[in-house]
Amino acid sequence: MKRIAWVLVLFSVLTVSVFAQPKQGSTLEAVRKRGYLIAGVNSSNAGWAYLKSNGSYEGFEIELAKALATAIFNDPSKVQYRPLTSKERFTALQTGEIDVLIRTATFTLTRDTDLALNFTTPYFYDGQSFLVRKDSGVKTIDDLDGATIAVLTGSTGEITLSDIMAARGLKYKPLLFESLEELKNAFFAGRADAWTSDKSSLAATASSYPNAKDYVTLEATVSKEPLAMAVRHGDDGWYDIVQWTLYALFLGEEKGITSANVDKIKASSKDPEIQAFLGVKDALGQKLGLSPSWAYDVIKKVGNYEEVFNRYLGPGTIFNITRGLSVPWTKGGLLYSPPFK
Amino acid sequence: MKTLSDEPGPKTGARGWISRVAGRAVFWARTNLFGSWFDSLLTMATLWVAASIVSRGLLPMAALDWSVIRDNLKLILTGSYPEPQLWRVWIAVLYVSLFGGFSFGGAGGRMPRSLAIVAAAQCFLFLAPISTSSKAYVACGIALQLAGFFSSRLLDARARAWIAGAAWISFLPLSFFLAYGMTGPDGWMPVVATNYWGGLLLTLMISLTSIALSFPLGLLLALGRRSSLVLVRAASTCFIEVVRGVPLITILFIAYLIIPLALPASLNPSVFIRAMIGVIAFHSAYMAENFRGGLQGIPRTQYEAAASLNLSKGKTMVFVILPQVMKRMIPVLVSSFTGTLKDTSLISIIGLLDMIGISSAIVSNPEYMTSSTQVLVFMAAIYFVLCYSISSASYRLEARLGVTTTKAGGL
Repeated sequence: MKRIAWVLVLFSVLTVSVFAQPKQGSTLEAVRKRGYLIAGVNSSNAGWAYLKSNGSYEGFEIELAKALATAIFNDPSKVQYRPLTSKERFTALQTGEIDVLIRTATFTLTRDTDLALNFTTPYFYDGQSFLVRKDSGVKTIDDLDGATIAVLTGSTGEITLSDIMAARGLKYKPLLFESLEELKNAFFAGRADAWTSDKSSLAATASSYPNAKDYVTLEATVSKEPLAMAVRHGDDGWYDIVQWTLYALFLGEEKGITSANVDKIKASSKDPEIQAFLGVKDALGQKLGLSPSWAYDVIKKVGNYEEVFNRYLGPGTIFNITRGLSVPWTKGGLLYSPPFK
Repeated sequence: MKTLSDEPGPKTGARGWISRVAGRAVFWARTNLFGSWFDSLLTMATLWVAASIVSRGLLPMAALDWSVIRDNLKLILTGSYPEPQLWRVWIAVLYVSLFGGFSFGGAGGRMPRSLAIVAAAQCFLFLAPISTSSKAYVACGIALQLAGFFSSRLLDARARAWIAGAAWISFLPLSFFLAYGMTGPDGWMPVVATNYWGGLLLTLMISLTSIALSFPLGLLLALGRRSSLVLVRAASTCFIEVVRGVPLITILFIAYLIIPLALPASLNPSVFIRAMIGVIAFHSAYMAENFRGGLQGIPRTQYEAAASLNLSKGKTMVFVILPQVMKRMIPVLVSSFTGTLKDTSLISIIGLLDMIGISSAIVSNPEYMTSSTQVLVFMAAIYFVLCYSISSASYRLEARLGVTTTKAGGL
């Protein structure tokens, strides 16, 4: 009797593992069949991705997910957001729990290879710096010798910090935090002399603090932090869709096509690239597996890069983040879309 | 000018009463607060500490802008749970109201104090600035609670026990069913994926489920550890010791990372399920050790007495040993239940938006970025109310079962 039970158990384990082999289907197909996109996002990064009072997600990175959903479904609401911490974000992508990761992930060689990810072109060019009290007299990184420096654990900032301090032979005491919220409270309560993070994040957080003018970000940028969307290795078609959706936002800004004037431009423009872009002729979308009007839908329902940026991070918001290199190449920046041909 | 104090005559009326009370107060203060120089020193120090807590802690806190709580109440209670589907959560709340009132019915002749407190709290909630539909639900809850209370008194004790038992056992499966849903997006009860659950809803779902499941699992593990079958004993001991030797955070990370890699992709369980598996594994190991302690406290003579009545091993356990173990273990169980409730706050580190996770999400909203104190204080208050009601319920249970003779605490 006992033996029969064991055989049964073994058999059931085998059947489960045989029939439940991961399917190597295309992500686009899976997303279409499911009826919505699953995006891995942050839930508590002011301006970039956060929860509104009614429980819906909002922010610059959320708009990128909405743009992707619009490209696929022509409906910005067809996204399920999966809140992720900085530690688990890549695992969630590897295990297939999410389709795309849009969570202030820095594009690095190790992540691209070891973690088997494909990064898109960066959607924001960030860089690490330090926030200090104005009256501390700290002007350069060398002034931070012996300082207590607050940093988020699991971020590239933590590694960069130890690298640059070691390279300059400076001693420091790291104060590690799991969440931005704890770090903020500790830093503004004076538990650390400096706080290191990406400039955008420092600006965003400092601006919310009542005594924001008592703090200053150091001039020096000590690292390159290109923030990019990521997908899994092994599905190039899906990668193309994510990549070209971002290019569509770039091109929209470059050509001055906004959600307000896109209908007019579509009707009147003689520029062959714009005609191809908006699906007037050359159904470029079909080459990606999308509808011919996908880029028009994205611009119409979500907006171009500038619109999306200004909605949550731009001069009209309390953050007023300087775009730095994240402006179109025509204005001397790095946002460059290959031709839509 | 003639003042009151210049008036001659005996100290009668209100003035006399005041001076008597004042005299008594001075006498009491002299004997209790300023009896010796050391007592006086202690009194002054305590007063100073109390005054600084009030002036630096409580007064500034009361002066803060608390609108963040009112505006985000929905987020704190249910997270991103879609608004049109909130009625399902309300039904679960109403279910608790009805059977909560029902279970109180057996408590005694008049309305028990705890029911009165709950009703008063609900009336207070009714007056709070919440939406009209929420008020309707709260009013409905009060009515159902009273209905449950009075209807249960029409029944005899046996029927009451059966109905209450069945209702509470089916509560968790029912609330899961309600919260998760069953139909497609256009049906009357669309599925709400667990990553939209949040706040108090998520905290309660995870902690109540792990309390409900770690209890029987812990009992099985404890019995397994005492089993005469080598394999069972070794497996139970190994599980208990390994799990108890690792912090909960590590267990949660293991559950988060290993489960999806170990299982085929098509079975990939949601983070909610993974967190729950981790929390349940952790608490059942602790529960097993609690039970082992309880089992060891039963004198050998009880087993011998049962054996002399020709009871089988199983019957001895179920009818003789376990009832005694349960009764003794109430205080331990309650403290581990409150521990479980509070431990669930750790799930926020694997990205679940429980009450702690949701509080950092709220203060990331540009509108509320400076309100973290208010949010955290409110979360602490919710945790306190939950844990305090669990422990006061257990004091009542202990008193009724006659486990303790000393009066346990209580405000």
